[in-house]
Amino acid sequence: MTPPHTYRNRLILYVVLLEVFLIGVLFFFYSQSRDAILDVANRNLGLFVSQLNAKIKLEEHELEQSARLISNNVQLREYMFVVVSIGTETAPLKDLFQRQFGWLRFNSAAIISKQGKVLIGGDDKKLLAAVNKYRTADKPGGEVFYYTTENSIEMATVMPVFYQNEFLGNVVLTHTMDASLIETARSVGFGQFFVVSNGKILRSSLEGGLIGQSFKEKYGQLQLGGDNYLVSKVTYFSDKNLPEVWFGFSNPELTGQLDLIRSQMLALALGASIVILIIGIAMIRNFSRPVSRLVSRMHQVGEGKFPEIETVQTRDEFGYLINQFQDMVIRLKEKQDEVDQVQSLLEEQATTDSLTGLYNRRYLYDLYPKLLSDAKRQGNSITVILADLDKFKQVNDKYGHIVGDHVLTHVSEIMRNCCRVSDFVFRIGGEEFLVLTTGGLNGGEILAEKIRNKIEQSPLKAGDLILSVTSSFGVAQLESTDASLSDILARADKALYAAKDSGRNQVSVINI
Amino acid sequence: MTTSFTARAQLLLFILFNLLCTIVYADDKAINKDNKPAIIGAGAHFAWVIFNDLKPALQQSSGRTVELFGKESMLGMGCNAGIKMAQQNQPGKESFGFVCCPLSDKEVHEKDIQVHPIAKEPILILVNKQNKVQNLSQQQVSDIFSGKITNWAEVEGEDKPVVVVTRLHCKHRPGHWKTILPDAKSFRKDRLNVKSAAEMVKRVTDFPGAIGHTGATWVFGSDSNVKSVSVSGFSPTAGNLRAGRYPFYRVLSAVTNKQASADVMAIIDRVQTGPEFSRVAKEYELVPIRQ
Repeated sequence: MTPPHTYRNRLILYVVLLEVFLIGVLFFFYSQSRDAILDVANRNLGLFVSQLNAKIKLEEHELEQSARLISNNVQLREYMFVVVSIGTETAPLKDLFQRQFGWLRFNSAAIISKQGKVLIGGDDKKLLAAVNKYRTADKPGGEVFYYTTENSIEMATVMPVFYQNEFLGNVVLTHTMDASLIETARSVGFGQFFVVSNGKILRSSLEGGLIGQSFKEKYGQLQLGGDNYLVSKVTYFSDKNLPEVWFGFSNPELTGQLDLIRSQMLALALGASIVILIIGIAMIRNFSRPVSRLVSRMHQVGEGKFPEIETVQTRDEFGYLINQFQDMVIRLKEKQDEVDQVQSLLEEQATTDSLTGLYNRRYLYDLYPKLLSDAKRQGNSITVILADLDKFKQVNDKYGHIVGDHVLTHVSEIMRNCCRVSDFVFRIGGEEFLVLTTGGLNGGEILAEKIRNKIEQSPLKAGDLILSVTSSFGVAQLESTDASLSDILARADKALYAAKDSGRNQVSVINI
Repeated sequence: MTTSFTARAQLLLFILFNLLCTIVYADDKAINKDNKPAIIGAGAHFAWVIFNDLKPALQQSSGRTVELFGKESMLGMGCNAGIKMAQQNQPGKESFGFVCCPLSDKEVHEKDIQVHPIAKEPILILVNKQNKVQNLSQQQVSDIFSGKITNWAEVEGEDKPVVVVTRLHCKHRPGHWKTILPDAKSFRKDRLNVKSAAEMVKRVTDFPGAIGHTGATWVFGSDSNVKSVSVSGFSPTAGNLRAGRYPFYRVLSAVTNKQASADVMAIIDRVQTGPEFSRVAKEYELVPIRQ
């Protein structure tokens, strides 16, 4: 019978539940991650744009400091004085500017005299046009303004130059904002810049630029080139004459991150599932196998078998249980052996005569049905030989019961020796004996005669006493009309009395 | 046994160290007579050039270490620093100064110092090498510096505005640039004022129309793009200066206080009269005053 696997099934269930839980948790986090990414992207966008505003302010300050450094340089003021006031060539001034300030961070520079003559940087017409309104000695300088060119938004600052309290002109520096912003976007690694004018994209950091495409933002989102964008305006450029600058993330950029996370989650789930599965299988095997073995052994013990159980070396609970069970089985087997021995003894005592060792009357009645059944199956006949010692009472009276017992033992021994292994010899009364044999009536008569003769020829020798003993025999055969053992016994008894009546020490046979 | 050896080794090392220190110290002071401290000389660059060229000979003849400060008038060195150094002279801390301008009697009296004239030095009139002008009259030079002449075309040069570069130091002392114009007010107002001879040379190098002035002992670097023009047909040589043909010059002098030691005086005397100075004077077109 296969033992029930309740605990193993439970373990399997636990493993499955664990797997389901794990996958459920991962699925939950995955489903939440999209919202989280969008939320983080939104916050990062705002943060980045505010940092960008701060960066632009810093660049304004840096540009102003550079212009101030140049305008305060004593040598430059001297040279500018020579050029402006004395009217010499500008080459020394250009050389000096290049030599002294070439390392400064700006896009283009100009030095304009108080008369409006461009001393340095005359190529940049847009710059000169934008600077004209700032060209004055009255302003302290350092004011930053913006102007646009075809390709960029330019940050510019103007700083007056004085020599011995005389206003000589202005130093103008510019810094290209688009390039700076695009460079910033690229350094961040993702996100795009859009320069927008009148709802159209002028420039962007995207490849191809999407130049000329419509830029219609709604609630911080818009559709561009088939992709959805999360955008925020760089508010630093407040001048309405300037283009707007926007910074944003595209959905592919964000979902790219999400896909990456999804792949990582999937890999994690797969790895964790495999690990849990392996651990589960190992647990089930480690738990189920010893339990199954134990249950199987228990079944064997229940069936009365005492299987050999090898000692388990592991020190876990199962090892302890199996070893305890093994001890229990060994002790049980020992007890069973003792019980069997006692039972065997009791059975022997219940079926034999304690004096002679022959079967007793009780066993006769137990055995007869079986013999009858076997005989009928095999087509044999059963013959009963009933024997009674002659004048045994006189022996007892004359020589005592001890000698009488010796006589009985002596006769029993003779009868046992004369019979075949297949014959059954009983002591059914004080001096009455019975032999059941499967031979026919003739065989029974011959056996009876053989016993009678042997008894007669074998006197009992007890010390100095030599005592001759004889016995009478009645022989009867099982008949088909016999309803029970009593029927055949009655006939054998009748034959015995006939032998007694005929003078004893004879064999009498009844033939029906 | 080991301890004894270590102790002996330590003693030997100690003796060797002391011996080495003594040798180094002795070598350092070998040139110093009676282990006296060095004599300090400081002041204007142009006089420093002379003393610096003669330094080995001066140390050899005086037996004293001489330390000089004043190259390119750096570290605040100049005529005023030279006079101050002379005033600080005292036994045990001997010092003297050198100046590139003549001192007035009044200043000498007030500061209680002695002036030891060494040489006259021609003042070069510098122009950019691109300038075609090779010669100017003394009057033209004065007119250019005063602003009467503002374009080189007026003195047969190119049509190019004149950029005047000046270094009008020691304004209260006679001579020097005052051989060009008598006072600072006489100079053109829209001029460039520089603070050192190096800046003077740099400005004249940078501006093709520039004109400036500096002493003949100035050593021009390879990056300088200047030349000196002759004045009234005479170049700034010692011979022309001695003969009175070249008009612009200054007097280079040493200054001491009245407690100057014999060693200091001997050094100055060696500069004024020694044979080594003749070579230096020839090299820089100087006119020795006491020779």
